[in-house]
Amino acid sequence: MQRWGNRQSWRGNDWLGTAGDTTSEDMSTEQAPLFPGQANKAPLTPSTGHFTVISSSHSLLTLLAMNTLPTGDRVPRLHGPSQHGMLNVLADHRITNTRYGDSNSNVGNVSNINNTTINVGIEEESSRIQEWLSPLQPDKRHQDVKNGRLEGVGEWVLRRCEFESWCGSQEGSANPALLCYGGQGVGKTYIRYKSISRNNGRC
Amino acid sequence: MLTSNKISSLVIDTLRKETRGRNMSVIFLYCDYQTQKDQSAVNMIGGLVRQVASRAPRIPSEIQSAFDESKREGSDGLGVPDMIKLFVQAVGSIEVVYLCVDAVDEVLPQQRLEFLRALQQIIQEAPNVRLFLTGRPHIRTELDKLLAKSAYSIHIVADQGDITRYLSKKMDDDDHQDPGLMTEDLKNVIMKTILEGASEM
Repeated sequence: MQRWGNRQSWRGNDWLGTAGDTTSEDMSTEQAPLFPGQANKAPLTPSTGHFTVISSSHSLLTLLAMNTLPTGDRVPRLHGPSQHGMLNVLADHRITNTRYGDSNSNVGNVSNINNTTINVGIEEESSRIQEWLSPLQPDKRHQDVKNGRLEGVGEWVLRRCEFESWCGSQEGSANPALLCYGGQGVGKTYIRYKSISRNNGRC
Repeated sequence: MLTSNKISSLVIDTLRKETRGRNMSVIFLYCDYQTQKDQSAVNMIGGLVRQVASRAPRIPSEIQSAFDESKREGSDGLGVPDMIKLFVQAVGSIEVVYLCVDAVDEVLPQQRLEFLRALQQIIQEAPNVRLFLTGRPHIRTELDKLLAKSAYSIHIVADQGDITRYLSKKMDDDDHQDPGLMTEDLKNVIMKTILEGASEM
């Protein structure tokens, strides 16, 4: 998810709670399209379908910007869609109270707006957790390998009884592991070698 | 032609199709000597946990708690035992988890041993996990020591059908490049010669 621009700067300890407060100046160094004071530019991307805010509320957008940025605190979550214009905001008290004044008045402003859909925060937090868990992205690699596959090749493996026993086995009734050896000397290099050596033999 | 990653991707796609709409999950990892610096045991197990997180409709609570905990001042990063625990807990409610690891031989030896031990522990502690693993024959001894007692094994070698498919594709590609250069007779001779060679393997 690159929706917020340069995510690299979030990596490392700077967002894992050691850097203390994230100020609005910090935010402006991000390439995030949303930060305080730019409410009327509405730099939101409706095409993603996740973040649609029709609002002129500076305070609300500030709060949202905080939600998308890492802080040392528990990241507040916003759940959407809102019902009857009421926002369901689970805000971090420290953010709302110490930095942005009265949180109640912020939420109050927003409650007058109808059809406000907010589904931000959950997805952002999810991708942040995923990056924290590991830098490896096997899904991407899978797609590459899959694209290079020739239809039908290797399907005999799926018909082997070892494979069928392994994948269809009930819990505890069969071996939980299936090991496949090979990958070297079974491909085109090997075939080429075989053909050449045969011909050499004849000559 | 029939590299282990092709087999792995085929197995992964087949399992995904079979498990769609059921309380089952397919988790996988492709090891690659080109990315060895990221392939520490903790990153690899973390990569598996990452997929569990990404497949779930919402982040499993154990993972969320570990993440929240990590943000506390002075907390260390997760180690391999923590990641194993996290994985086992996070997949606990899934009926069957197919865990596929490709080309484990491409991991640096020291990391590999730690990773394989972690996988061994996972299948011991989580009876709902089925492990599919590919590797080149030279690490067979290593794998057998850790996993053979609880494993089936298959030797991957291209069969005649695989070779025929591959050659047809190659010759078709050549035909597109230089149409008419290769007669059908020549194609047949090439196919026959190579298949005869392969059958002597």
